[in-house]
Amino acid sequence: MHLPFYLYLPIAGNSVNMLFILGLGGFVGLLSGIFGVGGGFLMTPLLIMIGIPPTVAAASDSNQIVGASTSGTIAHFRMGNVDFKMGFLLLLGGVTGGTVGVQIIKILRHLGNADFLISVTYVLMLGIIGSYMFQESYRSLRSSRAAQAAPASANPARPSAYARLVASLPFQTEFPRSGVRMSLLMPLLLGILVGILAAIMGVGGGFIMVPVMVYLLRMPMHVVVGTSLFQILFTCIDVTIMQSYTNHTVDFVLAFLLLLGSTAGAQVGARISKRLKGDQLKIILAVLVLAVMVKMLLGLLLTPDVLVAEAGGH
Amino acid sequence: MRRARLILWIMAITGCLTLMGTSFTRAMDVTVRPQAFEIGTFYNGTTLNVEGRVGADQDVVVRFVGVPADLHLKMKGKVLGCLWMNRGSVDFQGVPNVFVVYLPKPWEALGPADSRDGESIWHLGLEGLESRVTLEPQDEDKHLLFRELLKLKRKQRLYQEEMGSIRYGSEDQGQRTFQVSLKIPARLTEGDYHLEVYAVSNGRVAESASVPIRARLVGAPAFIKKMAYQHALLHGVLATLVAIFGGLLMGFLVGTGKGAH
Repeated sequence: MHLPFYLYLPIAGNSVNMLFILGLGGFVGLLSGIFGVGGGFLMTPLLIMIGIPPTVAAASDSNQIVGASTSGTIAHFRMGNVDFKMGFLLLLGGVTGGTVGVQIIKILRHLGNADFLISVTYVLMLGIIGSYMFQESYRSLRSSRAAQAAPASANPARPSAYARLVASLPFQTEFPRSGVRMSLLMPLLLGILVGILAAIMGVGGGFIMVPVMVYLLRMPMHVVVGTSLFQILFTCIDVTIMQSYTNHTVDFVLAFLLLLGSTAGAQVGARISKRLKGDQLKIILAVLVLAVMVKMLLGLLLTPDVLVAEAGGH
Repeated sequence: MRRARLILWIMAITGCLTLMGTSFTRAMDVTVRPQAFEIGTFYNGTTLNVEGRVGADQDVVVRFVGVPADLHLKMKGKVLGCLWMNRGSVDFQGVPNVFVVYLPKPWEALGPADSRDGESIWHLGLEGLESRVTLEPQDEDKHLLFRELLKLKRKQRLYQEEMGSIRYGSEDQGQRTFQVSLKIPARLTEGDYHLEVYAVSNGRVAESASVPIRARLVGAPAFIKKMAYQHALLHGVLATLVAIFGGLLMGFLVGTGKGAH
């Protein structure tokens, strides 16, 4: 019996192999479930490579992330890994920051050097975040081995200047799920910062949000992943509806195929995430961030195959 | 008297039309099947069968061409002497979205390449498109950017030059039949296209024919596209709901009972 493996995508204006799209969704969903990132940095270029127009690839990817992050959020919620209070505050800040970031981009484009600033910011951010995460988690893994060998010190270390600053801010509150106490202003302001950067860089922000939660909000890694997915879910709902309404670039069929693969991948990813230690997760994510940074850097340094390109994409 | 004058007028008009006709190429007898095709759920490209007769000393060039349109592209350039990134944009005018050319042998073998006037076969290929495409802003290097446009379109498999796929029949009374199965790309949108056949001899176009081809969206793709453009907000909300329910369903199917602590 002949099975039709190719499906025509009316908005993308191209036909795709269904099995390939399911596999692609599964792979990116797996990463999403493990690390709590949306996966747009990986999915969009892969979709463009198989002939999906960049604008359609980016918008449809956001649509499928809605499905993958719903599935991932539920899987992490079942495991007690979603801090809703923290997530709402970050989301509120993220939406505000995103709006400000869009205005900044408009000004930069008017000045004529937006693309240069975006590319350099992207590489620098990924390089700094990736290197710091790698170093910190490597040191942490080594020290945890040393701690197992030697007894803990009787005198705890003096809190850092950052910790004292966080403790001195008003509106202190408990975040029981994350096991931290801090000012409401912290997640709100950091959410705004990430929102601005995400809008400038044209990505969902998972790559920046996860390290911010780990290092600046001091949340446990497993709660970070679940809470990040929860926040990404709402960001991508907003992007899907806006892209569909203003640009007509959401390909419903493509997104549905991708989400079938990615939701299954996200479930598997969430289980893998639970089995890995926090530091192991951080070090793998650091490697992934650095790999993306190297890929972007090569893209900037090597002569492109074609010197013209269609507009759109991340 | 009046009838004689009418006949003279008709003869004069017919004569003028005949003279005008000789300034163009003569029409050919060509059969194309199908002349319309549907783009449905499982569309993955299609094939047009083209048949006809040409002079025994002539060759055939077949083209499948989209309607010329404007194309806005980002332009890449070096910043600080080492970083490649987008540096502005260019607008091409008169660019067909698809341009597939089938020829029996290389262009050089079809005639001398030095002649580039209006009836030269040079105009039939991808290279010949450059003269019909305009560029905005005009101070950019048109030749260089056109080469890059060709690279981009070739990469997308929308512009192709296929060689050796035209089959000729045996000669009969100074003529021979030809047949070609022209593959239409999968990356195609609904709209009007043209199938053009050129009989060429010694590097020049002797006869030609053009058959309009219609590609029409049907079934689910037609419904989805209509909704995306005519009910955009509903489409966005529906796409979101389907994604959420898809996520919930898959979460239930894959994760029930196993993902809990």
